[in-house]
Amino acid sequence: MNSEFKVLARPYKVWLSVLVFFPIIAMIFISISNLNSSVPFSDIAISFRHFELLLESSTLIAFRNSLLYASLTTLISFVLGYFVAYEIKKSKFKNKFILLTIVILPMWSNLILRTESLSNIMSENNILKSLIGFNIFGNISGTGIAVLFGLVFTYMPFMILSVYTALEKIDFSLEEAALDLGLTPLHKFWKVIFPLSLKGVVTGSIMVFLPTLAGFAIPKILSKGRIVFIGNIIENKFIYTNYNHGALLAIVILIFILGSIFLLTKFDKEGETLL
Amino acid sequence: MENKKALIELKNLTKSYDDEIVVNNVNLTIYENEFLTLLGPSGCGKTTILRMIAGFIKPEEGEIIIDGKIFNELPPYARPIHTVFQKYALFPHLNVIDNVAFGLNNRSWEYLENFYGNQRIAAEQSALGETKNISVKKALKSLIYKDSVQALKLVKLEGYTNRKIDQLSGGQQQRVALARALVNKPKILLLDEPLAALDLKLRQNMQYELKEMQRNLGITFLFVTHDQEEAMTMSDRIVVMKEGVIQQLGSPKSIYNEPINRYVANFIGETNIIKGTYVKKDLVNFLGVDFACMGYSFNDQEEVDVVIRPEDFDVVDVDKAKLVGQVIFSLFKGVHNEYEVLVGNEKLTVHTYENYEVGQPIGLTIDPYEIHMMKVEKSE
Repeated sequence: MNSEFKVLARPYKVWLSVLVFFPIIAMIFISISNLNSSVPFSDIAISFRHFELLLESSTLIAFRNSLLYASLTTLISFVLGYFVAYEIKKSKFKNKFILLTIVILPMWSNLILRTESLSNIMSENNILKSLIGFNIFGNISGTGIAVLFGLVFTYMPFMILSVYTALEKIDFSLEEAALDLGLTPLHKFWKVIFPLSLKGVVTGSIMVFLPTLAGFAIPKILSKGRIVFIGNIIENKFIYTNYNHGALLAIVILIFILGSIFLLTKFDKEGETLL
Repeated sequence: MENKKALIELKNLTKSYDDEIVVNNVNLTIYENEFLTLLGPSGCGKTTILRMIAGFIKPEEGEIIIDGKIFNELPPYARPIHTVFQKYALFPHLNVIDNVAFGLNNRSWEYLENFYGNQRIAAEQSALGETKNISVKKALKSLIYKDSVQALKLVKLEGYTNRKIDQLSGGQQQRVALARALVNKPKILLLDEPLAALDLKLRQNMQYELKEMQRNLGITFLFVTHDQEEAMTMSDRIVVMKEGVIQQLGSPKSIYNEPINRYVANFIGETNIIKGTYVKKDLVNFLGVDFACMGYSFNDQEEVDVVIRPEDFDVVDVDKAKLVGQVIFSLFKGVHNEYEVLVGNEKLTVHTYENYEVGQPIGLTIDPYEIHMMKVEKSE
C-alpha cells in the first residue's frame, strides 16, 4: 500500500524539482552573476553590482508599499472577516455550507476581470452610475483606498474560511463550561472562543498576507499604475529582460516569506496551524 | 431527611423538544448536603433536568427554586451551581492550574472580595509582605492560586499544575474538571455522567472518592447516570426516571428492595418477577405454593407481581425446600454462582455460593421479609 502511494507522489516530486527547485537555484545564480543576453558564456562571473538596486528609492518605496498594504489588508480582513465567520458559526441556519459558498462566490469569477470591473465602477463615469444615478464609490479609482478595497475584497474570504474552520472545531461544551464557571457571554468570547480560534486567525493571516505582499495585478489595475508594489517592479524587470534585477527582487521576496513562516513556527511550537 | 433544609425545589417542571415531552411535570425536592442521583436509560430526561438546573436550557413550564428563589430566568453564570461535564470540557489552551482557576480568575473584583472576605484578603496581604504594601489585587491572585492548588490536592493531582490538558489521561482530566468546579465552592455540584468514559477500576475508585468528597465538603451533589451500580454505591437517594417521568424516589436500599413497578425492578439490578396472588394478610401464593410474607397490604385474592432478588433465595436440601426446581444453566460469576432454575414453567435466576451441576435438582426457600410485592400494572 505504502509503496503504491510513493509512486503516486512521484509526479509531483518531479514537478516540484523541475519547476520550483531548479528555477529557484537558477534565480539565485542569476541574481548574483553578471549573466545577461549581451554577456558571452565565457565571461560569466559572480557579481554583486545588482545589489545597488535594493538601495534605490523606487525599490524601497515599492517594498514599503507592499508591506504596508499587505499588513493593512491582513488587519482589515481579520477585523471584518472574523466576525463574519463568527456570525456564520453562530447562525441557526441549517446549511452553513451555503453561507460559506456565498462568501467565496466572488472567487468564482476571474481575478483580473473582477478587478477591472471594480476599477471601472470606482471611476467617475461608469455603467453602475448610469443605472442607479449616483456613484457608490465616488471617484476613488487610482487611489490607495481603491487598492486596499480591492485587496480586502479579494483576500478576505481566505480569512473567513480559516477562522470559520477554527471556530467550528471549538467544542460547544467549552462554551457551556465557561458560562457555568461564571463568565458572561462577552467574557466567554474573549477568554475561550477567541484564544481557541487564534490558530485560524494565524492561518488566515498568512493566506491573506503572502499573496498580497507578492501580488501585482490588483495594485496595478486599481491604482492605475500610481502605486507600485514590489511585484510590479519584478514584473517590469522581467518584461524588459533585466533578469538579474528581477531575480534579485524575487529572491528578496522569498526571504521575506520564508522569514515570516519561520517566525510563525517559532510562535506556534506545536505546528498546529496549517504551516 | 425530614429535618434537612430543602435546597432545590423543582415544581411541575416540563420541557419538550419538537413536540416530544422529555421532562414531564417533574416535582422534586433536593436537600442540603445530599447526594442525589437521577437514574435512567438515555433519553429519559435526566440530563435535561440537570441542564435546566444549570441554566443551559429553559423549562417550558414549572419552576426551579433554589434557596427559596425562582431561578428560571437566571443565566448560567449567575447561578451558584457548577457542572462537571460528561466530556470534561477542559480548556485546551490553558494548563491545569489555569483551568482550575478559570472561574475565579474571571470573576469581578467585588465578587472576589465577597468570596474571600476582607479578613482573608488582609491576612493574605500581610502574609505576602510585611514591609511592602501588597495590593488587594495581588493578594486575590495569590489566594486564587492557593485555592486552586488546594483543589488539585483534593482531587489528588498535586504536582500537575503546569501540565497541558492533552498530556493528561482521561481519569486525570476528570479530576481536573472536578477541581475546576469545586474551587468555586458551589452550593450545588451537578455531575453529568462524569465517570462514563473511565474504565471500570478507575470508575469504582472515583465513585468512592466522589462520595467521600461530598461527605467532607458538605456540597449537594446532583449526579446523573444510567449505571444503576454507580447510583447504588454513591447516592443518599435515587430518582429512577422513565420517559420524563419520575418512577420512584428513595434510598438505594428501598429502591432495590421495594421497587414500585416492573420497570424499576428490572432497571435496578437483576430480579425475578413472578405473578402471584395475595391470599390474605401475610400470605401470598405464587408458583403454586403459599408463602408467608410481611409488610404489604393488598385486597384479599388480589393479583400481585412478586419480586424476588436472585440473592434472596435460600438454597436448601430438596426435602426441606418450599420450591423444587432443576438447574438448567449455570454461570460462574467470581463471587457467586448464577443459576437459572426451572420451577414449573417459570425460570428463576438464583445467586448462591453452593455448587450445582446443570440438570441437578435444587431446593429453594424464601424468607418472608425477602418477598416483595407490587401492584399489577394494568397496561402490562
